[in-house]
Amino acid sequence: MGNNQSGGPDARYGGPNDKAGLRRHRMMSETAKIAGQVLPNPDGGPPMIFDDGNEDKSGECPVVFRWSFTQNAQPRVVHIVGSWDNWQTRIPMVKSTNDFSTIIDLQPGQYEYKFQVDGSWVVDDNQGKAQDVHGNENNMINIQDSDFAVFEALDEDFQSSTAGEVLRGESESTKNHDTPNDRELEKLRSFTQEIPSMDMLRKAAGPPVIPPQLMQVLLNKETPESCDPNVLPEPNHVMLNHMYALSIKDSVMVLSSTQRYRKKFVTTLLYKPV
Amino acid sequence: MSSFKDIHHQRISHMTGSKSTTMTESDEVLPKTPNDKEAFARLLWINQCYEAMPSSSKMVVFDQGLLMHKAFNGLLAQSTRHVLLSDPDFGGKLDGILSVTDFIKVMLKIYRERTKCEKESTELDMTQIANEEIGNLSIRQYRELVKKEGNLRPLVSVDASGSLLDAACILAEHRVHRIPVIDPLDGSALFILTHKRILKFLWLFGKHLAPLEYLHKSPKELGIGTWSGIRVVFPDTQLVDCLDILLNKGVSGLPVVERETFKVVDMYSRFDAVGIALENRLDITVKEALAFKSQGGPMKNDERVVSVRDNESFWKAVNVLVDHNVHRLCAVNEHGGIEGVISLSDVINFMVVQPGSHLRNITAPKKHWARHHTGDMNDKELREILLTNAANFEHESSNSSSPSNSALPSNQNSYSKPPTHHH
Repeated sequence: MGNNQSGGPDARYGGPNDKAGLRRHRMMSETAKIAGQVLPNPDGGPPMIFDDGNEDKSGECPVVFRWSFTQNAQPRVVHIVGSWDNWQTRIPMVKSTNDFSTIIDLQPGQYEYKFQVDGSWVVDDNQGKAQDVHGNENNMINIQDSDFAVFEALDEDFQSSTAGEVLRGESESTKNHDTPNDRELEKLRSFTQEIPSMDMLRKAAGPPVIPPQLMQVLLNKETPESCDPNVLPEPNHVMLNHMYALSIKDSVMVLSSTQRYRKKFVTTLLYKPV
Repeated sequence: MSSFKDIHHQRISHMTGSKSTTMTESDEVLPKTPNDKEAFARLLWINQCYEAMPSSSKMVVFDQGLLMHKAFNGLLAQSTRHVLLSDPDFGGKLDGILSVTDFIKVMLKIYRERTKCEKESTELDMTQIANEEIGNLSIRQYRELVKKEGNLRPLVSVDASGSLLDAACILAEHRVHRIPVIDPLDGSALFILTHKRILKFLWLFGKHLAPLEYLHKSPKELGIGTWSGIRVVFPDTQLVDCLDILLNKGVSGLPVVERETFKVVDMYSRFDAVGIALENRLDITVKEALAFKSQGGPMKNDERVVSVRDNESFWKAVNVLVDHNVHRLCAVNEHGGIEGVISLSDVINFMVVQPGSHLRNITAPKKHWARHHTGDMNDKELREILLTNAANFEHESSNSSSPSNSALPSNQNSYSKPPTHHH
């Protein structure tokens, strides 16, 4: 909402509707030019945060206002003033490559507004226009709730999709090409304080199974009888630094572990009474 | 036979490992004269114990709280002759070796005590005495008994980075067949180096030294082995007497010969005694013990007697020792009568220990192919390298962020240009 910062209200400003205001408008324009050359902020104080005085903002809609220009006629500064606050505040617009723009939260309804481009009041011919009771021409916009229905439509699409059904725990049996896998489901879930019910816990899968290569125990492999009984086959690297245990028999526990020493391997067996 | 040798060769290569690095020729190894007796010693001198380590090996460790009869069941289950002992009160520190010799001592001790009981006319059940003695004795208690008799030896070990020559000399000094090789960084045991493994290493990597002249003389000429005063047993010798010789005369195997002809019919070793002793059957003759052994033994009877003619060359004897994977050979005459016994320790003492003792005080030259590669480093060194690289990477990232910082003032300058006057 930084775009809503402004120089603050000007008590002398009466709006562009009356002729006295027009005369004073010209005088203010010249004063603004002089002040702009000397000080970055004409009022001398810190910028004030825009506040339309409404405490309840739940029904407001964000509205984008844009002033476009061409490369050969780039204005230096653009402000927008509107009937949403009875023409009280000049809101500075942010310059971009091809335009000045700002976003203002407005309640649904009809509003009139005008642009001040480098100190001159201008009406954008490309946007809606209207005449007020005094015969002056302003831009006009009509804000409706239905303009923001697209977000609700997207939400409805998600709820009816396969991912939405899976998240709610429905349609356990049917699977199609849209069914998300575990990783995709993990992204869709959000963390809550809810404790899952016992039914959901029962559906959860068990711990992962042991990798199959770890089932090939080095000491269970046969070596030729004529060979030195202390020589073993070379182990797979994933078997290193694991501990294997033989079933306890006759009150004796046998543990083994395979370690690497430089380029060779040692499998140590420990016989221990229990 | 040739296919068997090929398989045997492949197996030896697998067991010894690091073949490519060690086989490289080096001036230190090549014989200097046709009768250079130090060549094999220098081969061991420049190689570390790590080089003789199998690519993948098994190491059995027993907790000292284990009961003796369960310990020897484990010994049989793992088909190993020796295990290391771990002291749980000192964080699992290794402080001893248990071997079949200890088991034979236990059985003989029980047998002697039982004999005393019989002399005193005490009618006790033999099996009950044996089981109670064995069952109540833990490894720690047994070692305390041995300590009282003054026979307990401290554990002798070598570092994996030590030279094989050092290890061979230590084996000779302490008159033992095996020595654990320890990781010098964390003290864990890597494998047990035996005379058998040293001989295989010498045979595999020293074959190019075979042109040495003295290798073609007979062992008797060279004075290798025992050629007089040979200890033998006969088929009708009592087993306890046989075990007594095995324990107290410093031999690990005895040829069994016929009384009339001294023809060698079998060999009896300490390892053979393990199975028979578990049955508590010491009241038998050597012949009956051999019959019991042949039932469960993996080798056929005719393969158990490994012999060479007494006039064959020393290198031939070495090849037979390596091929048959035995600890000793019988030298026989044309009638099969025993003439001498050649053991592993005799061979290694002649080839390596005697010629190479003076090399132990000299630092071995650094092999150029033994420089540290990433694969040679242990996990601790690799972890340090990774941490160092990560720190360097972060340092470079912080340096590269400076140019982006210097870009900001120029951007601000463009914003602070004086605005164009509007006409």
